[in-house]
Parts: sequence; C-alpha cells; structure tokens
Amino acid sequence: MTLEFHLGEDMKLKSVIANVLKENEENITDSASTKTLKSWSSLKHVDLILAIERTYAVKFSTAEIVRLQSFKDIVAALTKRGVAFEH
Amino acid sequence: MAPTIGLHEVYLWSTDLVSEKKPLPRLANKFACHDGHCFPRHVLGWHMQCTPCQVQFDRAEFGKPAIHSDIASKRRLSFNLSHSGRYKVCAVCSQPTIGVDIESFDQSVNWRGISERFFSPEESDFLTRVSSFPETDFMRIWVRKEAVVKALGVGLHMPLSEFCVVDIEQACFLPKVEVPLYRALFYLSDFSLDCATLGAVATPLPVERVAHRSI
Repeated sequence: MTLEFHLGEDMKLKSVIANVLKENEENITDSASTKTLKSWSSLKHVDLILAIERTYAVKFSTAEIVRLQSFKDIVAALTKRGVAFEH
Repeated sequence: MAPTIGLHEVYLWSTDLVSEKKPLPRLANKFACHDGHCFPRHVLGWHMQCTPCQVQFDRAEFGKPAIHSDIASKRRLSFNLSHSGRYKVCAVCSQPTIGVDIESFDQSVNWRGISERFFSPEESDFLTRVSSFPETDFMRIWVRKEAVVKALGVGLHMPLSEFCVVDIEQACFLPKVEVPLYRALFYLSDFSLDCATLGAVATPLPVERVAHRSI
C-alpha cells in the first residue's frame, strides 16, 4: 500500500517560488511580491518564470511575464490555464 | 564641491550593505530620508549641490525613477539604480538617460534555460558554442541587457531577445548595441565590484571615464 500525500497547489507553487528565490517557505505568503521580497530580482524573476512554466507545463507571453509581480498574480495566471487552486 | 560631470563621464556610486561602517543609516537619520531613497538622494544631492531632502523624484511610464522635472531643469543629470546581494549602485551622468545593472553570482540560476528562452539566438549560441566560461559570460550578457532596457526605461516590457550584446564571429562583447525596436543605440561599459559581482552601464553616447566612488 502506498501512502499518497497530496500537496495543495498553493503550497506547491509556494515551494517552487521558495526554491528559486532561496527563501524559507514561510516567507512566501499570499501577499508575497517583488516589493516584499528583496530576493525577487529581475534575474530571479525570469528564473522563476521558467521554473513555473516547467512545473505546470504552461508558457507565458512577454506581457504576462512583466505582469506576474506577486504570488497572487501567478495564481491568477495559472488559474486561467486550468490549474485548480483552493479559494 | 561636486565637479561638473562631462558628457562622456559616468559617476558610479556603490555602497556595501553589509559593510561594518554602514554610513547610510546615519545619513538617513541626519537627513530624515525615510522613503527608501536615502542612497540616491545623498548621491544626487552631492552632484546637484543641494541637501538630500531637496532631491525629489518622478516616475516614468514603466516606473523608472527620474529626478523631478523642476529640479532636473536646473542641472541636467540622469541616474539609475541597481541592487544585488550586498551591493547597491547609483550611476549618474549628464547624458539624456542611463541604465545600470549589477548581479552577484548565484550558481542556482538556470542560466542555460534562461539564455535559451530569453536571449537572442546569437547570445544563446555564444554561451553554448563559443564561451569558455559560460556561467560568467551569461552573467555579463544579463547585466548588459538589463542596463540597456533600464536605459530605455522599459525593463522587461521589451523582449530581451530583440537585441544582441555579443559578436559571435569575433567571440567578444560588443562595445555598442542597436535596439531596432526603439531605433536606439547604446554604448556599454562593463565593470565589477568584486570577483563575484558584475555590472554594466548603458548610455546613448560613448563613455570615456567611469569614476567609481564607494560610500
């Protein structure tokens, strides 16, 4: 028998963000953004976009990449692409 | 007294945020700069011969900070800021615009993925086929491209693949780059703050002298 642990999508996304930004996961709150996290630089931003695109098998346009400035922005963009987040 | 900045000069001010001296918090108290702009206020106040509190800022369309138009008309200066790791830099010149970027090495950055997805094909080829030190050269390409889009004031609104900062045939970094989308030409000056932090400055006119000041 295998024990499956289901990680909610929001926790999964926070884990991806924390991993790229090298932050503790508790720092990735629902209000996390480029303004609240100094580690979220422009280079880390494109690194993060790549990691999210690979994790969720999606691709963002240039205009979207610029708009994704916070955890909530990313959740909204992924929700549009069918990823189910808890609300 | 602050010297006049020549047209082909750039003043590059840097501050080490983990330095034991930490002069900026004292300056922040002295001049009551509590809005996070203490560093550029202090630097620009010195150049403009006024107190840091008299320096006021505007924001351009895509958020690039600029000296308030009332003050800027008295002494034509452009500036730009960058922050990475332990350093903050403020580049100042008398040209119409300037862009600066610094980046501290971070081995966890997916440089291959970023160059394939965001750089021009020539730059991506340069890193995979020509470069002997691709991680270092990736960082050099990144700061150069960032300096250009910051000089333009558009940031990542313009795809970074729209222009190229390397010459793959000569296996070198270009001293000037064209940005066809904006019909713009920028001259690039490379620098490093230490062995792990690279930077670049982009200006519309050639730069003959970069005066580095550390505070």
